[in-house]
Amino acid sequence: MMKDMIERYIYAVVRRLPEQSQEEIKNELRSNIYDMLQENPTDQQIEAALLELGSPRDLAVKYQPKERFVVSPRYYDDYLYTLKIVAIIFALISVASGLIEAVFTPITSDLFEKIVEIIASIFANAFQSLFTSFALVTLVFWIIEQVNLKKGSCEWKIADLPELPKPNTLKISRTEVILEIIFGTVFSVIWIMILSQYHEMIGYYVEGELIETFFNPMYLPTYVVLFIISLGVSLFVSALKLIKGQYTPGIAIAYTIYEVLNAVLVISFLTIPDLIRPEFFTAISLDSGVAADVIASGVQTGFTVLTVFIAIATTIGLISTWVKMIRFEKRTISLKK
Amino acid sequence: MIDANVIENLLVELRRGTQILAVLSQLTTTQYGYSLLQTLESKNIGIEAGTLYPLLRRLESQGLLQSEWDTQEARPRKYYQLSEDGKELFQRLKKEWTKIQNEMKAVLGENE
Repeated sequence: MMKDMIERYIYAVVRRLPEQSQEEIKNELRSNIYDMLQENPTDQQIEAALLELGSPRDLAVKYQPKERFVVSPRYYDDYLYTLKIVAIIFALISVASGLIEAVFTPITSDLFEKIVEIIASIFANAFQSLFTSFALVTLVFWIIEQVNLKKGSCEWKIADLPELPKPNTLKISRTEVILEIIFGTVFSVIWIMILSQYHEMIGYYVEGELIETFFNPMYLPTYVVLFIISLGVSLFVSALKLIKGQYTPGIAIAYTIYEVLNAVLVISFLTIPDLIRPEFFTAISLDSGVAADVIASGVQTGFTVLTVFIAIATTIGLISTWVKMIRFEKRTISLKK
Repeated sequence: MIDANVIENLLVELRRGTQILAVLSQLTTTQYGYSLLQTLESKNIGIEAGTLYPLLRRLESQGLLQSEWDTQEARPRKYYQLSEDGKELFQRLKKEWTKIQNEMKAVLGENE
């Protein structure tokens, strides 16, 4: 009985330690514990000695050669911050993709049943994606931790310090950027999903039956890749904004390049001459009696208006950013004088 | 009123560095874990068993102590003693300690 208690204590400590040191520490502990006791000790005396040594968990920690972390306090803030953003993005994407799927699956059973089904599947998706994001972010930070442990990274350069936000400057609002990241990502992903997986479901329907599809599938794979790249670049620019916290010339340039490229991408997509299948117009024309080329030119006009609108919106956004920048630079220069 | 935990933590922090010096000072002759604990206790150096034993192991892995299992007696015991490196380091720490004592005296004296 008494030996049992001691051996159980020793086991409780040693099993948490690296295998190669277990045997030695086991012997040390046993010898030390028996030294603390008299000959033929009572159970109470053994108990007192073990209590004096402290909880096996704490003792094992003291025997560990190094402190170990999944995410150390140094990175914990960044970890929580990243986790929040990633979790929100993942949850929104899963909800959105659940909705898209629901929209594109034909209603077979009772409508009420279907709604319940959709809500249940959205919750299940969101829940699952929260766990996935948690696992992914934790894994990434764990890897960072391990890499830094090897490097022994206490090194830092003065250049790494963030610039001080200048007084009454163009501070970039963090919340704004985070919202931008979240909604930008969610909408891009939905758009990319539609183009890559659901494009065959967009088209002309008569009484729930697909007559003709809308998009000419020939161009879609290329544009899916381009839109993914554009999403990547926009995330990069947003990350820059978050890190810098204010509009510097570098950020303004990166932002400009991204905005221009993105506008070019969207406009070039909208202006592909045969983006829309002619069969689509023919099908509508057959049913409505309106000539196919009239419908086609109507859609074309709509796209042109959209194109102009995008071009103007992008230009206005860019000009206002640059004007603010330049005005501010002038002011700081004159303040310095 | 200061939180009792805060006081306790500060006292532990203050003592931590000196504990190693105390342990090293008693290992110019061979000692096993429990005898060392008792020696320290008899000299009013408070150190917990659960702190001392892992500390001995750490100092040994740093090459400051050398150890040997004595299997002659009824129960085997591990005996520790300062290694050559350990002796050298102990002398350095002792000097440092004297320096700290003087510096602290100068600093604390100002407040009296």
